[in-house]
Amino acid sequence: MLVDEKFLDDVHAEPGCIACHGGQPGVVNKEQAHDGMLPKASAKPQQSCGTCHVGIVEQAHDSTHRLQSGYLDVLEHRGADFTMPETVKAYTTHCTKCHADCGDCHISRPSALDGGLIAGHQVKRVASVFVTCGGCHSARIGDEYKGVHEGIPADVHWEKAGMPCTQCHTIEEFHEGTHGTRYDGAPSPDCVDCHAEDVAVGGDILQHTIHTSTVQCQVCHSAGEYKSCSNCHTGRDDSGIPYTTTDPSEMTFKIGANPLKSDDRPWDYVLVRHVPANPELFDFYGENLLPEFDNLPTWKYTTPHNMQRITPQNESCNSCHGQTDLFLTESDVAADELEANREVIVPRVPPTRPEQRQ
Amino acid sequence: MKSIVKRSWIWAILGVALVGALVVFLRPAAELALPSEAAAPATVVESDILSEPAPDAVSMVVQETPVPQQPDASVQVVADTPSSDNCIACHTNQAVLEQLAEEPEEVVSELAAGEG
Repeated sequence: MLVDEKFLDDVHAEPGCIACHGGQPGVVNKEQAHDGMLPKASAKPQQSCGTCHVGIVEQAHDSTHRLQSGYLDVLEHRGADFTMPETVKAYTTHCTKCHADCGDCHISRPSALDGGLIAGHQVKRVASVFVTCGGCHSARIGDEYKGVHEGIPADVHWEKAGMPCTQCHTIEEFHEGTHGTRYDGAPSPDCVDCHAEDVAVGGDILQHTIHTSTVQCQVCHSAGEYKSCSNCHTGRDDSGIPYTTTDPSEMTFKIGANPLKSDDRPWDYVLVRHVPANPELFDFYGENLLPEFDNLPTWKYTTPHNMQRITPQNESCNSCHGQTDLFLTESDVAADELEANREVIVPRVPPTRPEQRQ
Repeated sequence: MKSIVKRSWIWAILGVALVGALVVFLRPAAELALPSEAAAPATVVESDILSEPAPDAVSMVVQETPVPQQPDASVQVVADTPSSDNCIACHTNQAVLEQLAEEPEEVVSELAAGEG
């Protein structure tokens, strides 16, 4: 691991390498010098970053990025029992690589991408948008935001305003751990944080008055299709090396019924995308490890990051009304996933508006 | 002429008397002025107070005044941490690192497939 000499002038170099990483002083033999060394110092944040950044480390101790509380929450809802060794084995072998602690964002690339220093060990106060955030979130969110998918424009917040992730997503959001999943509680960030005047009932935009309380913002303003994953299978080969297999992802645009309806998310219609989950996800490790799989849909509430003011589905009333293909119906859902998706399948597609009937 | 001389003696006597009267008259004022000139003893008293243990209220204020903790912590860490010179010698030298580096074996199963 090559450390840039510039780092030696940084305040973070003052305590010395051994203060955070351990190891042995005064010896030049590699093996002896590395005895007791912790390559990833922030794996023990209280002993490294936390010796100075006390408050932040305490705040981030239970963060969603660190504990992957979203994974645990979803798997438990699907019946995973983490007192069972088989479940723990499956989870720690295949899922925890997405765990991120301080260094994964502020010093190196995420471990899920095999790490590597971002800038010669310099500590980035604000993590790199594309290396760090995009390192884990690019397959779906990052690519949508940058307009990677052919024929689908980038998000207007990026395309016109050049807004990095951190402009909407706050430091508290990155560090806090109060949510089970990122969609628990009120939307954060919420479009109305900036666009309150635009969506005001009785304001200048009639469609907002009509739809704001019944349709999630993204339903009208997502610029087009976004990625849906198909499935995920886990296992170990004859050599004991873990592997995953997935079928190809698909580009989809589906409006579903809101499975998270609440005062904070009152809409009847939201966008949904298929996630890489299936009942046999952990079957290699044990039989029926997700016995309540159908408790959660596989077409999940989503917030694509490809927002535009004018989109194909908001050009006119009947660009959306009566457009069965835009809505998640039974015919879109695999037979063995129907039960899991009952609450998100749209029971009746909003009919064509009379004034535009031919 | 005699009268002028006479007058000079008279004036001389009067002058001496006047000076004597002034000395007598001004002496109390000079004594009054001494304490102010002697403000030094007051300063000494003040410094004596400061050198004494601070009253409770003062020490509370001092204790509750926010003190930057980070420098203290880093100083302590530096003081307690052994030198990392040996780490720096290798990890800032690309040639040495290339010589010592062991490329981790790429462990990817042949069965892995798809976008996972």
